[in-house]
Amino acid sequence: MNKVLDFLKKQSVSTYLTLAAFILALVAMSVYCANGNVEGYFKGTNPGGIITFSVFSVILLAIALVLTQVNVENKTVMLVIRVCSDILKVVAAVFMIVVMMNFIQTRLNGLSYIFFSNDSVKQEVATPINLASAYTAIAGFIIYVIAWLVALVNVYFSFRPVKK
Amino acid sequence: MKTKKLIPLFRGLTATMASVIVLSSVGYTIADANRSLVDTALGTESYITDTSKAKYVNDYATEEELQQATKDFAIREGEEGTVIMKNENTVLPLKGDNTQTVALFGLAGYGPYYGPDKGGNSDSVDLVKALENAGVKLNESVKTMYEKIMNPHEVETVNPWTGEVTGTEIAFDNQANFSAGDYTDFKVTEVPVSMYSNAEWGGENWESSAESDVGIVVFCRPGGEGTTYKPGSGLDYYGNNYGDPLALSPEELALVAKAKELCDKVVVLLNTSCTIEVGQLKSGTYAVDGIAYIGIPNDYQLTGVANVLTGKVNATGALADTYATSSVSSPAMQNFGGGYYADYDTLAVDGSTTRDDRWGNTAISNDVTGSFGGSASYSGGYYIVEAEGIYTGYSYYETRYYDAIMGQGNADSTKGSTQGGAWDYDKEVSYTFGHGLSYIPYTQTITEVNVEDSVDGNITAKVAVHNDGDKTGLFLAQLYVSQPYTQYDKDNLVEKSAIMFLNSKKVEVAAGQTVTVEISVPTKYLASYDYTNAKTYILDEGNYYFTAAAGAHDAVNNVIKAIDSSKEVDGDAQNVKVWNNSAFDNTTYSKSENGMVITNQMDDASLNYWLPGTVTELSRKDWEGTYPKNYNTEVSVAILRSDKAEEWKDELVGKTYEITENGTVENPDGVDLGEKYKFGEANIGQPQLENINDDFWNKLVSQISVNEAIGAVIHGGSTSDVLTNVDNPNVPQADGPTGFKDGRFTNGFRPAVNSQSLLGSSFNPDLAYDWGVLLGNHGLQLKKYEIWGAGLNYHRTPYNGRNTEYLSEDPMLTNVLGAAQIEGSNSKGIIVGPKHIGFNDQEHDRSGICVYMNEQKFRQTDMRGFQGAVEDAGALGMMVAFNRLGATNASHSVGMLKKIIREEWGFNGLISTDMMNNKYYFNAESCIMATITMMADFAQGDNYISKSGDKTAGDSTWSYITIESASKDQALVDQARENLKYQLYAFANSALLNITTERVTPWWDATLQGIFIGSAVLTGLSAAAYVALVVLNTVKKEEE
Repeated sequence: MNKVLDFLKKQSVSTYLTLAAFILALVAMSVYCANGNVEGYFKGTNPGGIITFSVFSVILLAIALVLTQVNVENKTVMLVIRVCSDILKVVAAVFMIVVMMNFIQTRLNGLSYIFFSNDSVKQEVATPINLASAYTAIAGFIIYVIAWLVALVNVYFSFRPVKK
Repeated sequence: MKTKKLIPLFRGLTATMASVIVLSSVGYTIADANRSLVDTALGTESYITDTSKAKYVNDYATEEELQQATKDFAIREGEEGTVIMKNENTVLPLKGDNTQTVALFGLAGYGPYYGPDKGGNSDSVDLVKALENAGVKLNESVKTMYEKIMNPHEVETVNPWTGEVTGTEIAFDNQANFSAGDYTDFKVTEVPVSMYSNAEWGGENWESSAESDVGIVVFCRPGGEGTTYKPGSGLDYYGNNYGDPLALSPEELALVAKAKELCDKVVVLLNTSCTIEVGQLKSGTYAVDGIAYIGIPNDYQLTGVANVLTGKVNATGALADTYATSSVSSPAMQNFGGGYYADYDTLAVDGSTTRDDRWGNTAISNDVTGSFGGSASYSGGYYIVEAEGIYTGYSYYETRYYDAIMGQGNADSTKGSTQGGAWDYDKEVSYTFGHGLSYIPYTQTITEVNVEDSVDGNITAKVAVHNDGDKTGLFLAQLYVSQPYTQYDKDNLVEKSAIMFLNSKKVEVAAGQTVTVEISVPTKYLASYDYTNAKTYILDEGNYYFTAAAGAHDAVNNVIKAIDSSKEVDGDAQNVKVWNNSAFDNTTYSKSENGMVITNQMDDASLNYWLPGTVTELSRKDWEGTYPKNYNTEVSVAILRSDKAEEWKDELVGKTYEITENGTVENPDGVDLGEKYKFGEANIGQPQLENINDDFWNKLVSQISVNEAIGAVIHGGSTSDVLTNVDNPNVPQADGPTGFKDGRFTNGFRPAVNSQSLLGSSFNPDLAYDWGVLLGNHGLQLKKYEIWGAGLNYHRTPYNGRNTEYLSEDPMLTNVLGAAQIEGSNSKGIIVGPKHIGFNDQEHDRSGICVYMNEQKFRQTDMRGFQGAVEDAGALGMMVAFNRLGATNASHSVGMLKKIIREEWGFNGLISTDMMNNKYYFNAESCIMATITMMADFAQGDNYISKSGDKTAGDSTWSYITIESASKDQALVDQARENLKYQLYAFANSALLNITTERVTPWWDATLQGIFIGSAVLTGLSAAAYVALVVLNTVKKEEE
């Protein structure tokens, strides 16, 4: 337990933010994938290329997280790690907004149709399964916004390797 | 500031600005695709329309004048569409002088059903106001009681996205059910009369103060898009099944009984376009003194209704549908709703072991789902067989009646009888098509008929309308014909209705006077389609009996009397004129008016094409032996059992056409032929307007690149975008048979106030023409030049909720009213596109259901309803139905769209699909080859396969289509350009020729673009600053 507490105490704010961004990106990606694969209105609406951005944003944050645990004497190595970490975090944040905007773009017409059609058409389209799909999409938007904001804030925090 | 502290700032700014690039660029793409919506929301404009050279001008000098004309029309429509079905004991007209107390009963009396597209003007008139304005003294006690029962109160409206309260709307504790549902239980929410004595409502003694001279009870049945009634699914107030939803519920009947108890006389008003069963109101325990049909009114029609009920104007409406004793009694109801093929799922592909090469490794089912989101589906698993043929509505009831009287065809067998025993017309029908009582007694007598026996000829009948009363009034004259049913017809399965409505006219006649009106209709509608032998239209040898009558039953009785005076029917043989065709004719009508040979085009719409001998269609030569069976429950239909299984499967999966390499496309990248070949009045004169084959049109569209030619068709709906090198105007499409639903005058007036149901029951083509002109004026006023504004499908059964947007069960009434409306709007240069061609007979599973029928039914029922508007009146646009014709998506149907509509009927206008909501069902290339000019979506600014022009990039929807693959299919590209030619030709023949649209940049557009550019610059600067600071900091550290 003490070791765990020590370990936690040695981590920087930046590390925790990176971790938070990573977890949120993972959750957001899961919701996005689920929304495009689970039965419902938006099944099959995830373009393959955008999934790649989503996966990469998670991977980049994972790598950035791993890098926070590297603390060596060699200043050149640390400089490279610091710069790489910066780049990874910037790119991850941008990838996340790319996915988020595409997510919104591909759902917008469907959501309009489900929620804003006249009452008769709504009976046809706003079925329980389609509504569940719609609410999942909206939840996904919100999670992506939070994930992106956390990732963006994280960029403003400098890389601090784990204390020795 | 130390460099070290600045590094995180510029790093963060880089990420922030890069994110803003993405936000602004994708945000711009979204906004651009929904430009018109954004403009509407923000009150901006992206296109300025210059009408300074307009050829078509508004008939009204001011908006206020047009507004008043619109209201006046709606009132007139209410007057002319109200049908007095029953009027005994002089219950009607009501005394509009406040001397007679009238108790209004029924939730619909205080909250009528107006349909889903009510205009919504603040000065709209409900029934209470209309009656009171007409001088009717309403029982205040009953009125107050209903206010308590309904308890209108404000509730908050909440934004479903944010949960924020956006405003208020009126809600009710009790209200008539306005939601018919999609083939599910329908609950009649009429409150039990036993509850009226509740202390909060009427109290124990409510009845004593409810006693009145006349009781008016109002019942409604709703409808609308996406709704279909399910036979037998009616629920009462308590949620218990009571029978058919179109029958009166126990609570409704109890209310009638109570009204009869409390009032000296009772009138029931029917607020519906799906016929309600009224047999019990006609005779028996619940018989009332008066029954009137008031349709689905809009904002102002109820004033007109009240004018009729109070006798301010004569009643001239007539039923546009047969009111049968039992709604399921028509043979069409033997096949309604649909069901799956026995082996529908054999078409499914799992994406790995079986694939559809167009879609790669996508798993695709064949369920009815997928048409509105969800799993990928071809949506081709459901079917229905319309085995009743032409015998829908009065064509069935009156023909079988005729045959029963004449003792032929086993007409009086028990088959199809719903009232017990032998089939008996008087038991099966409450009120016939065309029935409608007049306050002023009058007669209509045919005095002469002239038949021009040619495909472009007319039948002209003279009908003497005599006013037997002591007041001047408007009267309705209806023209019918009975065609001979010959041995040839029996041998070759050519069915004939014993009586057929042709056309009608209204005329004002002074008291005691006679006015002779001329009623004409194209002769070609006298011919019948022989799909088995001659495979074209034929005109049988024999006598054609023309008569004028107040309804189909009176008409057929006149004919019976003329044929056999010994028959004991209430007919007038003197009111019949005979025209004799001396010889069988399979030539005169075998070509259309424009010279095209007419022959079978829809053989594959019949199930017998795929599985020979499966279907026996209803024939009057043997009503009993051919009465339809249910081809979903009594017959197993399996696709793989067919000798044409592969062809069948191809149609069901949308492979009507497949992209192939069949030639090199000319000018694949487009070409600019100069100013001489641009859209506009400078280049388009009368020769070009009259002849779509003028070389100008071919040159005009030859300039369009493959990218845009294909893209403009497959993504062209909602708004027709400007085509490069063509410079056509940008044209958004509007919607609705009620009018421009999204249109507002500058003073807020909403002009969408038409009622299709009341237009139908007006039986007045002149009224329909006036509506067309008014709609045209609305378009000019609003600068909206295209609208899907005429619902012309027929009512195959009463159960289709969409009947609210369509006119009648009768194809010819629909034909003449539709033609008149289109003629009116064409005169103002507004493109009014009829919809939904064809056979949208039920909303349930509409997107994909296979509708099977023979070609006589195809041509002489639903299609005939559209033929007048298209072939006779020259409609410039149309929208296709969601369903299939046979196995083929209607939007893929070369037979219907290209062969019949374009070639036979000479249609050179634009054709849109309904909303493209399933890319596996709506196939882009098949739509193009069927001459579709635009596939409907909600976006705009998307008339391309690839926005960047990347030749190998797949289309955003049909990903297998690339510029490269399309460029190798010359037939496809040629057809796409041809389709755009039709579209541009339609634009040119409308007000769009003389207007120009100039694209402007609204502030939101400029802002987004500015943000994009700014953020790109700032990203670069921030990144550069970050790099510089990192380098500086590193150097500094090394120096230290």
